[in-house]
Amino acid sequence: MEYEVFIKQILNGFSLVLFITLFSLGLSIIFGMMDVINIAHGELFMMGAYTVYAVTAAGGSFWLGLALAPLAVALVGLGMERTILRHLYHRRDLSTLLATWGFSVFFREAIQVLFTREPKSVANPLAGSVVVLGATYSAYRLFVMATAVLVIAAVLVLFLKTNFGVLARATIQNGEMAAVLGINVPRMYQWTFVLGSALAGLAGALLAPLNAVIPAMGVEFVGRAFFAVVVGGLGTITGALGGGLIIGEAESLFSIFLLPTVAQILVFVMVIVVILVRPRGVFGRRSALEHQVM
Amino acid sequence: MRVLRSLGILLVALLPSVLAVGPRAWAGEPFKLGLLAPMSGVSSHYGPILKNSADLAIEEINAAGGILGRPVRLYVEDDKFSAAPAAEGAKNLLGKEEVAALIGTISSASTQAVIPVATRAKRPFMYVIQGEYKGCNPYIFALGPTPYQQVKFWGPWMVKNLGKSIYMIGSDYVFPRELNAEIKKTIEPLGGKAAGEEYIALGTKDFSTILTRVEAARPEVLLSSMVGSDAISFLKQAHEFGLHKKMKVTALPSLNSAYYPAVKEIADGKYTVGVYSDELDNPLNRRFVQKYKERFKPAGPVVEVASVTYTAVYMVKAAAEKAKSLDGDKLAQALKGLTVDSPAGKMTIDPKTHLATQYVYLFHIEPGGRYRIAENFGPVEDPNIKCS
Repeated sequence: MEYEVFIKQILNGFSLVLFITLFSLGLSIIFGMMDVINIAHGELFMMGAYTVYAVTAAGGSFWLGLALAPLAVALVGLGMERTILRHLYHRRDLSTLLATWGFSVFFREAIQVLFTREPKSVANPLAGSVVVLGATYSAYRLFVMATAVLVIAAVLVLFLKTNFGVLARATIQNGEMAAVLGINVPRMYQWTFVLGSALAGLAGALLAPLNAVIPAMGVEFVGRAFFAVVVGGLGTITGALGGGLIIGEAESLFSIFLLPTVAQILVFVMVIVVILVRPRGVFGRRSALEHQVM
Repeated sequence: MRVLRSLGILLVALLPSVLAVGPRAWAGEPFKLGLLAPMSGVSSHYGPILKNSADLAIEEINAAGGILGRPVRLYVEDDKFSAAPAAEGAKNLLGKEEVAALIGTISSASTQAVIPVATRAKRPFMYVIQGEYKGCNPYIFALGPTPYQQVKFWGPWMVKNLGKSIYMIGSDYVFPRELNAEIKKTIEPLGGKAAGEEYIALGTKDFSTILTRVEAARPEVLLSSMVGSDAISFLKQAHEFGLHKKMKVTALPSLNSAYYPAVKEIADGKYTVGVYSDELDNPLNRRFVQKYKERFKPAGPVVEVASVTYTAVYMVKAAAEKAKSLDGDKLAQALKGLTVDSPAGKMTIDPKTHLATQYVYLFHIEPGGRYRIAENFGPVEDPNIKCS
């Protein structure tokens, strides 16, 4: 393999890892902290993409759309949490799963009504290329990768170094005990859900220029995010990171040398093996109490 | 909050009824027509296009006295772009609603699932999308072009105008494979060759490794025969990686007008092949396009399947009037060899193969989604389909 091709394929691998991690991060945080499997995660992602589309279609810049998307989707998340989800946490059954599933259907239909079903286009705001390590590479992709690194780092800092992080980890480890110690657990849940939603919206906005913007786009993406969360490990932040790394790197490594269809089959096989051997994921732990969240 | 919540529930509950057909007040037994179209799922934008076009034709026909004096009534089923709901919908339309004929389907999977149902019911099924038609079934009629019809002139045109070594990338299912097989047959006598040929699973979202491999192979042309939203992502990422500066990037069918709103800046200036453009200059098309745009205000150009679906309804009318009957066998018999005027030019059903012989055009895509006719290849048949 030529040197330039080699460098590009390495970068491709990193970009896929970062895309998947960025996309799964919100899902993983919400699940890890609240035990809520947010089926509507893909739709929050989709609404992030539509926010950018709406802003650019109205004459605004892509960058404005990118800034507004996480805010808009965070508001949607806040609405979901306040209207329905918060009333279901105490029920240890499938209620939250069914509720988020209902939201996902509702959001898809609502977007169809608002924007029609026609695929929408968001133009690439950084259409040029940049030379990295002797290889010319897509400028926009490098921008997305850099943003993803920053966002992931910020989330790590938030959970490891801030007050919110300490309270959040306490809530994950033992919600009841945290409440006894004076932590406002419902509020922790609310902000966690809002944060997870904002991350989904940001991911949708960032990936909009590289994909077809359609009401069903979330459905198409969400499968891989669930893989990443399951493979990485349930209930940990590192799980989401590790899962994105494994799924993304495996898929891109396999598809450099094999047909893409075969590569995807191998990824499925890998997921099944991981679930069989380590049901709580590669980085998952038996119980959050025994170990730190990280 | 409670109000908001019930409003949301109400909205969700009402949506299906928006899609369904309302009853029409008209005395007398209606002439029932069935439409199968994806109203939900990844290709759900096709559903309303098919329904709108059929509605337009039916309104015109009803205003002029209906078919055999009967008012035409459309029954719609959502085929969800896949096999099982398509078969279920077809059974419903043919069995319960007792429609005289079926029109529709966008995905090959739906088409294949409807064929046996229509055959058993002995009523004609006319499908409107381009597809790998095999022919020779007395009840099945293909109004969308076959791979051969599309590429007979397009293959040689690519070799002459774009380049001889063509890297072919398609979605991993039957249609792209047949399309590329036909293209190879047309380009090889002219010295053209496939520099590479790969098929990618539907649902793939990142094409970076494949695009890097294409770039390293240095072909003169990259031809995508991806379909659906994957095709849009693929074209966007091919341009993101700057492949259009190193080779000619082209696509079939994802540069056709149905995709235009999603690939605007990528499509502008390129050429593509097809059987319809809303720029075609004939009185029927001008009238059709004007009505369609006024009524439905599409975001992009009026697309091929719109014209084909509209024509299909008129085909049924012509067949019923020729047969003077609603009977499925007689309708199917009457459809053979039938010629009708369509917005795309004259369309004739080949009496043996049941494939529509239609005009094929080369289009130059101009900003704003104007598909200008660059070359008229004339009516094209498909000699690959042989029925006795």
